[in-house]
Amino acid sequence: MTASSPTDQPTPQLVPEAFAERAQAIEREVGRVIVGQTALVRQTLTGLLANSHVLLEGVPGLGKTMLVRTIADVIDCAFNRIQFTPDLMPADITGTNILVEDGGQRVFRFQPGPIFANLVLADEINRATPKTQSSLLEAMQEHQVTVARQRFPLESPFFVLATQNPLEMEGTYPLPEAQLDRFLFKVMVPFPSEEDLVAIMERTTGNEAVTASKVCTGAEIVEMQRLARAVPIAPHVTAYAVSVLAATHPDQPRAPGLVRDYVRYGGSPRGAQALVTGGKIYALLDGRFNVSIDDIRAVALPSLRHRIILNFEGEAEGITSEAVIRSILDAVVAPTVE
Amino acid sequence: MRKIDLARKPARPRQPGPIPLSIPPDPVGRLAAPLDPALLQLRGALLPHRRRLWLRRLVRRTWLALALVAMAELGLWTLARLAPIASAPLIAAILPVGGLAGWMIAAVRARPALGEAALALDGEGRLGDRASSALELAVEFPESAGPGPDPADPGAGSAAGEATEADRFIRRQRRDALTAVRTAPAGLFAPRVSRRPAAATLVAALLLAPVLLVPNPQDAVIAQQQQVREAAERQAERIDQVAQDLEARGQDVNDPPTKLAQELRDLALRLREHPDQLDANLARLGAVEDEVRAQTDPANEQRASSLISLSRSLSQAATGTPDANRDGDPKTTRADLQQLADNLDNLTAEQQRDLAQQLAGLEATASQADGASGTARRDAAPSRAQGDTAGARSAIDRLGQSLTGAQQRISTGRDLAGAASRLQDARRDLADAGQSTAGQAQAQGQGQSPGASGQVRVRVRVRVRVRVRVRVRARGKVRVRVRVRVRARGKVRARGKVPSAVAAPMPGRSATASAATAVRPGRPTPTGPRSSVPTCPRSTRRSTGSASPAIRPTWPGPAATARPSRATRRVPAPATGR
Repeated sequence: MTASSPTDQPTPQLVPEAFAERAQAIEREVGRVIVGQTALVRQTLTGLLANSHVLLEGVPGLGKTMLVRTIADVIDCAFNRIQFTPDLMPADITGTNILVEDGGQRVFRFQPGPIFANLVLADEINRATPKTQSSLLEAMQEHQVTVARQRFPLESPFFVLATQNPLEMEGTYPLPEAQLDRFLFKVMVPFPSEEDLVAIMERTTGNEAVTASKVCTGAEIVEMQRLARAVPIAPHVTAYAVSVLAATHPDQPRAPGLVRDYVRYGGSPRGAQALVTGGKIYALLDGRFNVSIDDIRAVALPSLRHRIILNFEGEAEGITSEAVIRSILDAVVAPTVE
Repeated sequence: MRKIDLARKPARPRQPGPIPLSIPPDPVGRLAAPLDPALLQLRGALLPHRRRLWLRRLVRRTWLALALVAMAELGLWTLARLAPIASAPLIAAILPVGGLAGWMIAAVRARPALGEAALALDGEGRLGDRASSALELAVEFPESAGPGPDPADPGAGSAAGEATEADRFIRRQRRDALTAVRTAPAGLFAPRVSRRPAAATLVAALLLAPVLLVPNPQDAVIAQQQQVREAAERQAERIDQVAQDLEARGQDVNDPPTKLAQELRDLALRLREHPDQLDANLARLGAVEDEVRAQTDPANEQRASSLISLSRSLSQAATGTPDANRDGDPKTTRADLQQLADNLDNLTAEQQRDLAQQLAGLEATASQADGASGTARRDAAPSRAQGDTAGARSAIDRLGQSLTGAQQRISTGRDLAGAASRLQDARRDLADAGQSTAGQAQAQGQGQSPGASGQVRVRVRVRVRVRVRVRVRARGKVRVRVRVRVRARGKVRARGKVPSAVAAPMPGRSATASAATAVRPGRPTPTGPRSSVPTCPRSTRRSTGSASPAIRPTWPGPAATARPSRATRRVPAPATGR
């Protein structure tokens, strides 16, 4: 466990105009290591700046772990990686009380687990048992861990970045809906383009290894998170976000046909929160101080794709949640004047 | 066990429309002054965009109004080709006026609010909802809508907290929105052609052109209806005149002329109220005419002749002068009789005998003239012969009174006959109005295009047979002349021979009897467009009344026979155009 506490540093006063500049610096630095994948980097960074968590899904070898590592390198804060396996126990994550000798006496002392870090990489999270997976729930939602009726707060920023592999489903435990709902975004890691692959080859097969330097501290990330929450949003944009979320429910009148036919449950209110929070950060990253409807539409896919549960017919016919969300975005048209 | 249809899906609810538009309010109308100068500048920067947006809306509504008017005109004129719409030109003139009025109302209603302009600018200028958010946030956070803290004040920025952060964000956002609005492209909201309304206008105009240019067969029908209405109005006036005449002659409300006058007024009223119900009006007119004819005494004229003869003879007998009362006026006769009654005592016995003989000789005439006159005469003659002076005087007085009464009855009968004759004329004119235009409409519908000028050449073959039996009992030389008049408008050319046409007289009236042909073969007559052989009442009314009272015509009227005349009639085509 790397013990570098951001609270030791003085809290900087960040002006909104500097938000985009600072975020772009992080993206730029991450981009030195991660070739291409700009959307992936943007969405992951959005999850971090939203003070929430991100689930990455992609086949092995696409750089998921590398991305998280790079972000940890760029941000001067504590980073831990947990490799989830079927025999991983909750105590292996949260920590446990161990018996130690102190002054000739044996006492129980809490030994923090790897969850006590600013950036936590939960690698292949679906390989652990649901019991172990659920040990993350309290940490992700309340930023605290309870062990033996004792609560241990987690330091800010606290960012869990989980990965999962969609191919090797044998012996895996799909995340329960409650767990999934804790993630702000579910980001699909796409296969890189040929140009990006060439660049990856050049960077990774030579003698010179490209490394990212620190451009931001944890305190600055916390300040950016505070700033992001302060972005005002106009009522008509909030109404649009709510309409999009409502359309994910098959029993809602605004739901398109694809939702009515193939969706069992739609997104929870956390989905709308994710839309608005993500929209705020997108607005700041775009140099604006207000959330637009385009921001809401831009974050709709990563915000809602893991919150929509398809029914049997949908799964049987290979309907993807992405297709459902696109149909929702087509159906829920932004209000326009003549 | 209930079977569940798994394939059946529940009915889908109706898809709702787009998200209700939430128009950002204008902060000036919602918030109290003073306002943030940046907010006021933002309002000012939005105003030109608002004007341009209004102009674009006006153009769009113009196209819509044009399309609506064009389609309405097309629908109207298409409908006018299927059914006669007399008011189609009026409606066609009203439609553009209505479209203009609707456009003006729509133009006023289309004036965009400031929030609408902001939304439109955000959408079209891709401003990322900056302008609309600035307006909404100003109203949503009124504490941030006022003038901001002085940037030079060092203590202004020191206040920490969520509210201050939000205030800073809102003011930043407002300035950002102002910059974005000011740098928005100037060519936004350019008026453009609304494709669908323009296409609808074009299609409607293209379809309207042939609809308007190709002659409308319904024009003839409308002209016919108009003619029928005008004819009905004319006949109503004529009937009113008849009623007025009858009312003037009626003595009390139970008098037949008075009753008839009331009935005729009802008929005229009906004609005015329902001028287009040709068949019903004709039937009603015919019924009234029949009723009047039923009240008419066919022997009225015969009685009139007899009364004249009796009056003349009585005057001659009373005065002893052969030339006395040559006109046969009953009033003169009454005066003569009164004088005779007064002088009865002065008459010699021989004079009294002669008088009695003369009165006895008038029996036949008195019977024909009037029953009461005959009775009075019968009473007077024996009294005179028996020397009963008082009885004779009384009988002579009654004779005079009965002559006056007979004259009144004859006059009433004549009035009724005249009324019946005028009703018949009215009915025929009304029927002619319907038939002539129907013929025109048929001619137009079959061949001639109604818009073409020229004349319609219609061959009419008339075959009329008139059989007249005239029994003439007259003294002296009687000249009988028969005259046939063909009344027509336009040029009428008759071919073939018109044999001796006969106009049948009414009973008691004189008959014309010369075989002169009014329509000479091959020569056109210069009168109007209707070609008809006159029927009994008209011809008798126009006939010369020179026959003596002894003429006794037969009744009922003429069994018409007229040998065929093939006439070629030229009827002017109705005026075309709308």
